[in-house]
Amino acid sequence: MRRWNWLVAALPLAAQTPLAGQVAAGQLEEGARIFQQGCAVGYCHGAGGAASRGPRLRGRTFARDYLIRTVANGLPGTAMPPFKGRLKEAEIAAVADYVMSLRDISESAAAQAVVASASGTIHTAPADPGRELFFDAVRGTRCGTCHALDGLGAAIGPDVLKPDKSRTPKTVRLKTGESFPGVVLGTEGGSTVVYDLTGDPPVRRSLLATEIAAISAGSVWKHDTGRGRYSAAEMRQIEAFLTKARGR
Amino acid sequence: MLLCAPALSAQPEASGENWLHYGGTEKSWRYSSLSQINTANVKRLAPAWMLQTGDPDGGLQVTPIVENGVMYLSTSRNRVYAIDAKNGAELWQYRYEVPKDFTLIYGPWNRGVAIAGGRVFMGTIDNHVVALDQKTGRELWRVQIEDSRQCGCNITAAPLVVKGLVVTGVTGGDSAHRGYVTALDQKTGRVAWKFWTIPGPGEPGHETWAGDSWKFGGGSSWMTGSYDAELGLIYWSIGNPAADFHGASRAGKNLYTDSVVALEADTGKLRWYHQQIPHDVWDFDTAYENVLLDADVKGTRRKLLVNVNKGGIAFVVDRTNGKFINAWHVVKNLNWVKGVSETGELVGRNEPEVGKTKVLCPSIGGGRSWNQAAYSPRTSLFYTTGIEWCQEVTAQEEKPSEGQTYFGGTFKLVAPPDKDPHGHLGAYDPVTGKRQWTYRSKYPLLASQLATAGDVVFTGDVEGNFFALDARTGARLWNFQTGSGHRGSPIAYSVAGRMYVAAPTGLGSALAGLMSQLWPETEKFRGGSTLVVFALPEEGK
Repeated sequence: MRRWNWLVAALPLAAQTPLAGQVAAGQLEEGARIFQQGCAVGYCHGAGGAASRGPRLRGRTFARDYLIRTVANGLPGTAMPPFKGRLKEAEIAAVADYVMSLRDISESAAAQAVVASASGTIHTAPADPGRELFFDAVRGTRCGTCHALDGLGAAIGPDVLKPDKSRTPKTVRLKTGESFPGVVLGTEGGSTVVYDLTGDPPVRRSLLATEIAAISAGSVWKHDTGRGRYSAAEMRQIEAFLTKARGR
Repeated sequence: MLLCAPALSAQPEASGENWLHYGGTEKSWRYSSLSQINTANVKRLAPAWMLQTGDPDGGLQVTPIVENGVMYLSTSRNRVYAIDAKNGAELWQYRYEVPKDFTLIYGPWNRGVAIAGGRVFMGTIDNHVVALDQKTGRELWRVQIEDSRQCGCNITAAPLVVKGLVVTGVTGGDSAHRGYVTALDQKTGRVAWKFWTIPGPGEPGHETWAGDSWKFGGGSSWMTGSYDAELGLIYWSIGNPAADFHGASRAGKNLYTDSVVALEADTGKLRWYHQQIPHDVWDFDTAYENVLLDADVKGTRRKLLVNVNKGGIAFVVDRTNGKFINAWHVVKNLNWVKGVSETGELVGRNEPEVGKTKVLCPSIGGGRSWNQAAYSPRTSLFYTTGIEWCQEVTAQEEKPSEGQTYFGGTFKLVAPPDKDPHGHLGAYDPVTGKRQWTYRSKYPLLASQLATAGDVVFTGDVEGNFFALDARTGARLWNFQTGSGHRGSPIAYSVAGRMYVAAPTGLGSALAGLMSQLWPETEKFRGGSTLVVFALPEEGK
């Protein structure tokens, strides 16, 4: 772990604000460090909260509770992501305090604060190797392409924690003569919605009743054994992860 | 397949009655062969109809598509409208179900749909491709390219339709992500091929990435490609490597980031590539349009490709083989590199440093933004914008976390050394870069250009003006205040013999927010999302 050069410039700045008496100096330094790593970057809030794609934070007044809630949960429907899980509670509070300290900050002081801040990384939870394989992006198609878990992945095949038969593929025959193995989701707006499993990834198709010749039980489809996508050792890691997850 | 209107057959690079592709045609000229509106009468142009999309977040960044009197238009949150192109009457609308629990730094904007074979195709805010019935707007199929909650990526660009395929790029270049270009079968939605923009283990080019950096190296493909039907090649521009400003962990050239790649349309196989910026540490994507034009080079007619990158440099290559022809710049304030050698190599790199703040020009916002250039075969001029601005940039080490931002630094916009930040639109020789004229703008110009056979160049500014310039002199001939800034792409088309010019209005996007660092008043510029369509007044009405 690298040793931080603490944000020296933030101290006199913080002293100018009414907050200074309430917030421990270390808290602002920690908040500034996290802000620099996760909030000021690229097109987000800009160095010192100067505004970019994200709104300007400098020179504005926010309620502390609102900041904590927003950092933790994000703002659904916008570009603001939730940091809960990536940051600890105390770290989220530190970011909120830092943002509040930007209220009376002048432009030059904010820029200076950023220059003085050091490199570091924001906290991330260690991942289970089996879980990593389940969602491993560099393989293209992976378990998560067809199975949802913990809010990630597509719910096309069965729930891997509680498998049932509702997602068993059937044979869908169209009047055009086309036939394919499909997971039938139900009807939506007058169409039958089916995942066509011949696509990789599967294709969600909306079929009119007039297009369908028959949907019958059973299909030629077989679950990928993982061969070619995962090694035997990797498959064991995935199974170990799922066993553990089922026991949660 | 192109449904050719008579006006098109004479010149396949020009749009006529219809505007069928994102860039006008597959060669991305943004040029209309229509001349009813011209330098002599453009001052009589008046609004014919308007469409308010009701979806203003992110502005209206679209290029409308027109076929046989029907316009197809997408909005930020993936609504699609089919409109009677002569009067604005809605024929159908489609609303994509945007997940509610969803946040993403790339978006919510959408830059357009594509049409082919009776279907309308669109990439979505959460990285799906959908196909709609062109007559009714009914959804036919939908495919998740990759889970956007995992990859932190999505699709904002219009797809390219080619030979029974719908080809799409992906965002994610400023996140820990490995990019790709995906081609799907237009009828079935099945993936036909996928081109990874960063080669995997065992593939040529993989050695240009140190360690595991290839897994999170960016290489997004966030704009729309071009196509040369005669050569059977798709040209796609690949964006910057991640982390943007910090390259220590990804030693090497980082192929195919900051490159134009030529892919065989049928297979997605790489035919050639031309890398403009090896080991980019400035976030200067080669992401923008590839304009395919033919011109004389030292007395010989050549098939060329012109691509202006975010660093403010235009690269001209032979599109049959990727061989470097020339490079020229679209901005005065450019210090990230001293120049480009006669063989196309960058000379005198000026890189960001860890823990040290450097003034680099242009800014991360680009020597130009993604809004596209136009090329007129009548004037043989290439019309592109430029932005004079700089930034103080500080690199920092960041740990990649899949799907999360991975910039490797922060920046702050500053004025250039001459204290004169501004935008401009220039008319250039596409091969030599010799500038014929310059139109100056107070702020960056963030809308695409439209060139027409009436020798008029149309574009809009962030203050809401939609205006016409003389294509030969740059003189402003006409102006209309539309009420909100321009961040989309105007087009021309005709219905029943009447020519229309359609201008998407409504300010939004990352740059619209970024501008306020240098021009604080722009923070209060009004957003919106309205299509304003102009025509000459009809006789006797």
